[in-house]
Amino acid sequence: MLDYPKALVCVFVLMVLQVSVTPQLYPFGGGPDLIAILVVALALWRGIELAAVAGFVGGLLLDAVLYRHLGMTSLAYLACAWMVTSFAGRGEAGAGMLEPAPPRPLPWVIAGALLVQVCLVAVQLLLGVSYDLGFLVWHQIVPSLLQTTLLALLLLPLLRRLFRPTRIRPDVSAAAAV
Amino acid sequence: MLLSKNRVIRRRAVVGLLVAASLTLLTMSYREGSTGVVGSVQNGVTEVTAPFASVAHRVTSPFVDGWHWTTGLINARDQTARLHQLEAQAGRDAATIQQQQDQINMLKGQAHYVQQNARFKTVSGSVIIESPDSDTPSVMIGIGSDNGVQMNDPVVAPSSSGGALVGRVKEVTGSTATVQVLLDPAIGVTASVQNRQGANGTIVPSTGTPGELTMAEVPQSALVKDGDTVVTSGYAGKLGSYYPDGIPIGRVTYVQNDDLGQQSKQIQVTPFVNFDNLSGVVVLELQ
Repeated sequence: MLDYPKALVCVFVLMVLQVSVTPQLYPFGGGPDLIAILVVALALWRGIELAAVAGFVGGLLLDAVLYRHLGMTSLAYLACAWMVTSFAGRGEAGAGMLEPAPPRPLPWVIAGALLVQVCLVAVQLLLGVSYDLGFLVWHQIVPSLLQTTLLALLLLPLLRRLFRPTRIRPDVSAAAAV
Repeated sequence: MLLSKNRVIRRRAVVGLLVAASLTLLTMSYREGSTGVVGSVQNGVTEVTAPFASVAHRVTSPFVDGWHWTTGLINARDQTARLHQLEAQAGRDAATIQQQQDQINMLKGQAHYVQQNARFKTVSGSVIIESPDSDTPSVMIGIGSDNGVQMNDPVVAPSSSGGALVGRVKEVTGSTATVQVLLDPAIGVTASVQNRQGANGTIVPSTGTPGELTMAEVPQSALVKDGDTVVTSGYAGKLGSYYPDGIPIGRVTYVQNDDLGQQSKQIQVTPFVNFDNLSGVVVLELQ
């Protein structure tokens, strides 16, 4: 249960860094998505529940601070958590969920960050905001993916120390009861 | 197994609730805008996070400044190198433009040159070899007998304001011709001073002043002044001149009035043609 406070503190710290520090370092548009890194790491190492809660809270905070429509970014992070747990072999079945060992997180961070960007654009389009597609790709999505990947190389080892993956074997007693 | 099922149900319920909450918030936010509950939530979150953001900003600002200084230095170096490249490129472009402008002026001159003597027709050509400073100053042009050029054809340098005498064809091949220019000591052109009665003489290169011409054998009685224009006299007959009359040669810059009983005087003439920079010529062919 200690995972939830740790995850929420991480969400808050990363959100503050994302809105206050990284825009100064990356003046070329885009900007790294630190929350997406956290959501992917939690999805791989702790399952969808914690990842979804972290993504929801992180998205909510970002939307509130950046004065966007509340819930928009939360939806994108929820989709990211679902995608990673579904396609990385991290099914939501309880016992034995962490068998086999989790895959390397970096490719999933890239895929997750891309999905977040695509979801945000899709929600914006559904809300009636029009974009220049070329500008969006080359000045928002691609820079954001590159910066997220670079920062993931630094952030993932730290997150791994906080949320070290534990290997839980299948529930033998439950299987025997059947 | 029952535990596992409960866990699955709980996780699905949590995720479903979060999705539903997100959609609800999104709908409310879209409907209310920045007012109402959503606005107050946003304001509250901003108030809570603002101090932390401020602290994070202050803590990281030295690193950010260092980053900006480094990237600024790199950008400044890149920009300097790029400016040098642009400067060199601009120099090359200016030279190319000047060359093209000269070419255009030459072609304009050739195109607009009007031959007033009905006995001649004109053929334009470019100078391909230039040697005005040699013992026998001449230029080679890129047209020859294939274009109708013949020995002793007069050659003029056209310009947008008219034309001036260069010399005459000395040798000719199928595709080239060598032009003996006015600076060649072997050349002699009968000339007269425009609008001056009896001011006739022969144009030869000036012996003391390279690039200048001398009009010799001008009668002492002829009245000539600085600034007068010298043109070909072009007399006809059995031993007639190769040059048609009226082709400008140069401008009078000095008149030597000899009072020692000589019958003729010398006049210094500056040619209109710049023999150091001759690019295009027109050959006058006898029809």
